Amino acid sequence: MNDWPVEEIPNPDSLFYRVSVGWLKPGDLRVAPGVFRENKGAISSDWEKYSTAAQTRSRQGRPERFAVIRMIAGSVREIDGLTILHSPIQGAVGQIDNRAHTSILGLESTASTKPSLGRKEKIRTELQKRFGTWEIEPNAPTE
Amino acid sequence: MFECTCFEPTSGMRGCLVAQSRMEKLLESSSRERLFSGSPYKMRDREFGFRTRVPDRSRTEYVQIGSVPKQPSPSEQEWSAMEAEIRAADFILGIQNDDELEDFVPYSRDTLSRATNFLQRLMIHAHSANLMNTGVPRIGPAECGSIDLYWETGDRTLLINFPAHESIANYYGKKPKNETSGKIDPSGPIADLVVWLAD
Repeated sequence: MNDWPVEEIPNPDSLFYRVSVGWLKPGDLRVAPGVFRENKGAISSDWEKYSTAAQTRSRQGRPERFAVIRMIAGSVREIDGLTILHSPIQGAVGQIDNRAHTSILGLESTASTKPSLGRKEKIRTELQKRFGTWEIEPNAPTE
Repeated sequence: MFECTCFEPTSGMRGCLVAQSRMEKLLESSSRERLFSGSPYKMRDREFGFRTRVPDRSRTEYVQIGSVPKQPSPSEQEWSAMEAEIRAADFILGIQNDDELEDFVPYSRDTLSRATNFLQRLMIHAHSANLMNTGVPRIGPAECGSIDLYWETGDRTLLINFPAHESIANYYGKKPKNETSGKIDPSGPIADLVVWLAD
C-alpha cells in the first residue's frame, strides 16, 4: 500500500545522495567516480521536497558513517542514458518509509540504450565532474 | 728542548723521564688536535685517552658535507608518487558493506593487483618513451568489487575500471575535442592508451 503519489521532479530541484565514508581513501576525501553506484537497479537518492541532506545522511542510522552529495535533477537528466523517477517507499518489507526516495536509472545498461564500450565509465565520469563537491562532508559533525 | 721541572724528592731521574715522556705525548696530542681543528673529520685519540672535539654529527652527515644532494628526476618523482598511491590503496581491501548494498562484492587482492600491475606497466611504458606527464591516477573502489584507476589532470580525465571477476578492463577518457573508450586486456599492448594520456 503506497498512499504517496509519484510526482514529476522539476529540473532545478536537488536530489541528495548518501555516500559511505568507508569508500573514501583516508586522507583523500574527494568525490571519486566510484561512489556513484546502483543498489537494487538504481542509484538511490532523496528529493529535497521531502528530505533535507541531514535526513538523507541519517536515514540508515549512524549518520557519522556517511557523507552526502547534492545532485541537480536537470543536470542528471543531461547525462546521456540517465532518467529520474520519483519512487516513494511505503510499507515495503525491510525498508524504511521514505516519501523522498528517488531512483536514478540507467547507469547499468537499459533496454532503451544501446550498449557501448566504456558507457558506465563515461556516466560515472560525468557524475563526478558535475557533482564533485560534498553537501555534507565526510566526518562532518552530526546534527 | 725539554726542561724538567720535577721537584718530587722520591721520583728521582726515573720520575723525570716518565714525566718527560708523558709531556711529549701530551704535546703531540695537542698538536694533532690543532691540526684537525676546523675539520669535520675529527678522530678520537684512544691511545692517550684524549678526545679531540668531535662535532655532534652522524657519519652520514659527514658524507654529505661538500656534496650536492641529488634531486630525483621527474620520472623518479612520478614513480614514487605512484608507489605511494598503490600503498594507500590497500584500504580498499578492508571496505565493509556499510551501506547495506544488495549486490555488494568484497574487494579482493587479485582485483587490486590487476589494477596496480597495469598501472606500473603503463608508467614503465610512459617513462621508457620519455613521457613524464601522464600523472598518477587515484585508485579507488567501484561497484560490485571492481576497482577504478582515475586520472584527472588539467583538461583531461581517464577512468579505467577493473571488474572483480573479469580479466578485461573498461575505460573512458575525455580531453578537449577528443574522447576514447573501450575494453582493454591489462596484460596486452597499452601503447595507444599511454600516448592518448600523455599527448
